[in-house]
Amino acid sequence: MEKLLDEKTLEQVRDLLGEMKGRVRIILFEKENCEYCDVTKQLYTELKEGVENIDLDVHHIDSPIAEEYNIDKTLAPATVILASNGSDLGVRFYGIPSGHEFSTLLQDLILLSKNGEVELSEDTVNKLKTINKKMRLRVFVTPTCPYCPRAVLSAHQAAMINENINGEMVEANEFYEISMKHNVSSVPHTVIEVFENGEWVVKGEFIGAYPEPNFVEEVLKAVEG
Amino acid sequence: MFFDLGSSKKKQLKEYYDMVIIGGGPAGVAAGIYAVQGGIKPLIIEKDLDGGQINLTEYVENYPGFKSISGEELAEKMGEHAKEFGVEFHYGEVINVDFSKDEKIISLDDGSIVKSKTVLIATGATPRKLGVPGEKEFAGRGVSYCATCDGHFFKNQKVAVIGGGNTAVEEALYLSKIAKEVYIIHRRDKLRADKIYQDKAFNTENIKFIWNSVVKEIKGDKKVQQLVLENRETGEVTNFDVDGVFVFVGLLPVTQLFKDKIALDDYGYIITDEHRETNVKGVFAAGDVIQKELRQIITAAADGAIAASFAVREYFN
Ligand SMILES: Cc1cc2nc3c(=O)[nH]c(=O)nc-3n(C[C@H](O)[C@H](O)[C@H](O)COP(=O)(O)OP(=O)(O)OC[C@H]3O[C@@H](n4cnc5c(N)ncnc54)[C@H](O)[C@@H]3O)c2cc1C
Repeated sequence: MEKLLDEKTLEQVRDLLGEMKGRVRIILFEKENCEYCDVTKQLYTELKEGVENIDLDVHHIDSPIAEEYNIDKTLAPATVILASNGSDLGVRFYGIPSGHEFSTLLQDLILLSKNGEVELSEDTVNKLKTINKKMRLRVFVTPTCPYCPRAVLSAHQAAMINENINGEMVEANEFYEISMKHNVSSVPHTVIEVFENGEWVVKGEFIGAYPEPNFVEEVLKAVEG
Repeated sequence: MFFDLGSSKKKQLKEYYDMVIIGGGPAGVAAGIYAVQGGIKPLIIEKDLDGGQINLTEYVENYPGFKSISGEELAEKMGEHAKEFGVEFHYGEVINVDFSKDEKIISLDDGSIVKSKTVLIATGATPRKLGVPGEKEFAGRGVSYCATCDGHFFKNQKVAVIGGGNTAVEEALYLSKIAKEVYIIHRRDKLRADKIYQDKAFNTENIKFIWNSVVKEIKGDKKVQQLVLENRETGEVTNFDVDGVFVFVGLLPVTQLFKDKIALDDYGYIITDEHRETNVKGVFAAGDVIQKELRQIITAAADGAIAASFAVREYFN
């Protein structure tokens, strides 16, 4: 296959990722008959080979390891990125992080190489830390949406701060059913779910990329509600 | 498939900059370049992506030097150019400004605060809403203002585009490649868009036109299902079935932050003099956000250049 990242792009990626402080591990879950699995694997392989500090594991989405990470089996390719100390901070990508979401992936690699040292205000961090319910922030995106990376990064950073929170990008074009289930037709569309009595319950949602204080407000409102 | 590298390396923000530029679209980027060229230290604060609204365009074909370039690529090139020139960028949203003293104070949503001698407002514009019942309820449920973002949700479906200007027609052309049918609904009996766009639209088979009509209401169950249209000639009211509706009826300047702090016109656009300086000394504005005739990439860039080079001469030399 032709390379996804040409040498010049890879050079820029190397430069950007020069900021990484340790090794991080990308874990990809794939399956057969999956339109974007191969190309996602290729993207990560090119990153692993072209850049220092990245490890890559690939598993089948039906493997026990996928269960360990609570991967949604209906959504392949699925990606988990571990922090450099090996911990899973709840950062997930469902679908390929291409287009503008590639920039989200790069930011995540940097933040996770610093074990989730987020770039949020103290106030935001303190408020998000108070959440003691298991929750999931699913951010529906398309690769061509310029406002989406910011919404995904908010969800991912919330996950890094608080182990009760998972932050997930969901590429809406690839996953029609779940997008329709949540009536997604404008992105970014963030769905906030809380785990109650053994299942995920939608507690809130918002459309657009919110500034930090408003993002936090939406999340807290959903937890209380 | 493309791969956007996004923000530059994170640097610790300094406490003071010669010029803080709010917004990293073409106006802000051009100002940054001219500020560095003039020997001062600018900071661009951008909440989303370098290039601003350019990221929303499929192809730009009227910016000299690029016969045809994808919006996303031109946007990235602009950001890259400024960074290589030495302009510092910070990614975050400005949520408050204080222009009351000589030293201007700018607060961001990530909690940081920067001070500067001069400020350039280049926050651009966002799509104007129709202001009809149902629009708010169905935002994100079939009502959209960004074809690049949301077009793919309407594959093989029937969509309406409201408006008759350049953006409306350009976006209808983009959507015609995804949707089954695109109906341009316009309040007049002819388009306002430039001829080249009109010709393309008239020659596209699955673009159809509904003239002299305005949307009165957007209806549906969980999602948009119907538009209530009124014919302005006959007064006739009809229901029109659609799966989605894209609204391009003009712009709204992004100036809420600056209300009561600098002079705005009745529509919210910032009033500037020929140097793009506002009524507050040391505060400039450039691009789509100011009162002017033509809102395009080239005029935005020009405004930024004019503002920055004047600021350098007036406040630093
Ligand atoms: C669909 C579409 C197609 C177009 N096609 C063309 C074309 O073919 N040719 C052409 O010349 N022009 C075209 N235009 C118009 C052109 O994109 C604009 O005129 C131009 O981008 C204006 O530049 P600007 O820098 O003034 O503002 P913008 O491009 O709007 O940039 C403003 C930036 O400021 C940021 N910002 C706003 N508020 C804040 C805040 N509080 N804190 C931090 N950052 C903030 C925004 O995120 C944004 O990136 C098109 C526009 C659209 C919407």
